[in-house]
Amino acid sequence: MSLTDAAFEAEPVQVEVVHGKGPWRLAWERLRRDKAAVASMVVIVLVALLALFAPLFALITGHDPLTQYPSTALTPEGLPVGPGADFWLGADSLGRDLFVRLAYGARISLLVGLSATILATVFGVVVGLLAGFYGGWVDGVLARVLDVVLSFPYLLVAIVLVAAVGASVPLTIFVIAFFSFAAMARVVRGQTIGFREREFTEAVRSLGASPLRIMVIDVLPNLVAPVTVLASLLIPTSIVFEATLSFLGLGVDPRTPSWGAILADSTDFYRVAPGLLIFPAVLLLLTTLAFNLLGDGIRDALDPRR
Amino acid sequence: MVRLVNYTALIVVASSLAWLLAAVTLDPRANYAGRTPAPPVAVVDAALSEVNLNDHDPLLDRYLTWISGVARGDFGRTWDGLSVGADLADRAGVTLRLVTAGLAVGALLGLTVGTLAAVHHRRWFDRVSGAVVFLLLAVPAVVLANVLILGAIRFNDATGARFLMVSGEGAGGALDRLRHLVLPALTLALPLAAVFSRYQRNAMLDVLDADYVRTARAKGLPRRTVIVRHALRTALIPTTTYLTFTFGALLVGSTVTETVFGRPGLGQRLITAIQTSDVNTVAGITAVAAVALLLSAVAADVLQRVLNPGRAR
Repeated sequence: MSLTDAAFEAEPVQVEVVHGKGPWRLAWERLRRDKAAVASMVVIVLVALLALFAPLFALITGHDPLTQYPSTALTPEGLPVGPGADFWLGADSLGRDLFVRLAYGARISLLVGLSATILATVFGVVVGLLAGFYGGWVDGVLARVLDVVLSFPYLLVAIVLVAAVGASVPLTIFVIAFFSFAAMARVVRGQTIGFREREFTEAVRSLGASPLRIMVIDVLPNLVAPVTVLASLLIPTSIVFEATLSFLGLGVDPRTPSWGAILADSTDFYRVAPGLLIFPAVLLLLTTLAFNLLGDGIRDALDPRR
Repeated sequence: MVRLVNYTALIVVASSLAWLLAAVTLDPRANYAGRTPAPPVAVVDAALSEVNLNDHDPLLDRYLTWISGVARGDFGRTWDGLSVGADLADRAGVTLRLVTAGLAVGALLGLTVGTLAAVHHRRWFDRVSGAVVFLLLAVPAVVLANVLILGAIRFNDATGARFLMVSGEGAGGALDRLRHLVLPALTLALPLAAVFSRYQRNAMLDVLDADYVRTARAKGLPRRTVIVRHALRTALIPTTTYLTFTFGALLVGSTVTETVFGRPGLGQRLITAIQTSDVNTVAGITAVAAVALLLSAVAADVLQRVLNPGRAR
């Protein structure tokens, strides 16, 4: 018997207390083993920190996101300076600090992405639950409404609305949510129809439970998994939607530093300052990629068949 | 048949909503605002009434004028008196060329990659293409378009050829048009190829496991013949259906691409129409988009039945 074996045997026997693991705990453990999902979470946390500490970066660099610094940010020929100690990622064509603007842009992106998703999820779940649970004419009316929303060339309407009412963050959130809720409602409706006829709902109904109670207490918890997956995929869609609207000059107030607006600003300066394009593009890409991969990871983790 | 009636109703509802939305929110009067000397209100009223854009006329009257015009195939006029129908017809060709090219390249690329990935399931090609597809799915069109432009500028500088053009549509013959088409078509094609390859890969994997494919292998047919003749033919059905459906959606999705590349198509016109408050043009483009969307839905339905006799009833 070797020394290591002896040492191993000499160790006191650990008494392991067995705890039952709930489905969420199991899903979380599966998610933690998924390397892509963990990396995505790290990226998302970093972007969130960037957004959270945007004022701090403005303080450290001494650069306000909206102020132009023509004397330090532009070369004598009037071209923006590249990345360096003063301007971490360089300056934009007007002499503003690109890094500070990107940090503030992360706030807009996350704010719009999360709020639009929450709004769309709540609205979609309510409509889907009602349509699926009651069926009949309620379902008929709601399903037609969803048909119109889904068949409507949504980008057109979004553009008309945003252009007409004026660009602002709340409107952008509302527009995105309005055109995202239909997909959520569809999924929830389909699932609800399935659960409506199951034995456990019939059981509580025979006990005299009200329709509201059945929907909220008995059906809703079963929908958490598909809704979570869809919601996590709605976030990157919303972020891209916001960036696209801002790029077209139709999103949030054009002076606000949004990633889409920063990209639009860069288009005339590709040759002289490729960083103006590359940094916001990479940031946007990393963020959407991370949310997409995390959504995929959550889907796998919540799938009980795995 | 019932479906067709439903679809037609949807188109009418969608275009009417777009017209109403545009009529209520846009302000064609603004086109006259910056003039010096300021034209008298009566003159502006008369000019706007002439093209059915006067916000002093009752909304219902304007709507009825517009919808009865549309029923006769007349989509109204722009604020400076041009025919919306003729304008959109010109631009539809530009958009159609872009969408067709993008769809063709995207479909071909996606089907090839998807099929190969399924055949080499879990080997290196599958893994690498899977990673690239995931990356492409996450790239927003605005980013992809601009990155392609940057790449094209570098390419032109490096070769000194100036072959790839990054802006406009091109008027000097087929080659010139092609030079202008490459980049915007790629912008549409790459994300499409990513989606198609996923569909095709999954469809192919399902089919490759099927009994009849095993039977074909068992009776001694070469692997290549089995894959192409038996598996691929069946696996193409769902992907083709999806492809047809995408066509309609693309007509709308080309707004960003056309704007970035300065192509005078429908999508770009939508933006300029909003800027000049051309209510009729906005509604017209919405109508075209809705028609395209629903036509492609019908085509997808029909194709599904034709390609899949087993499901026909």
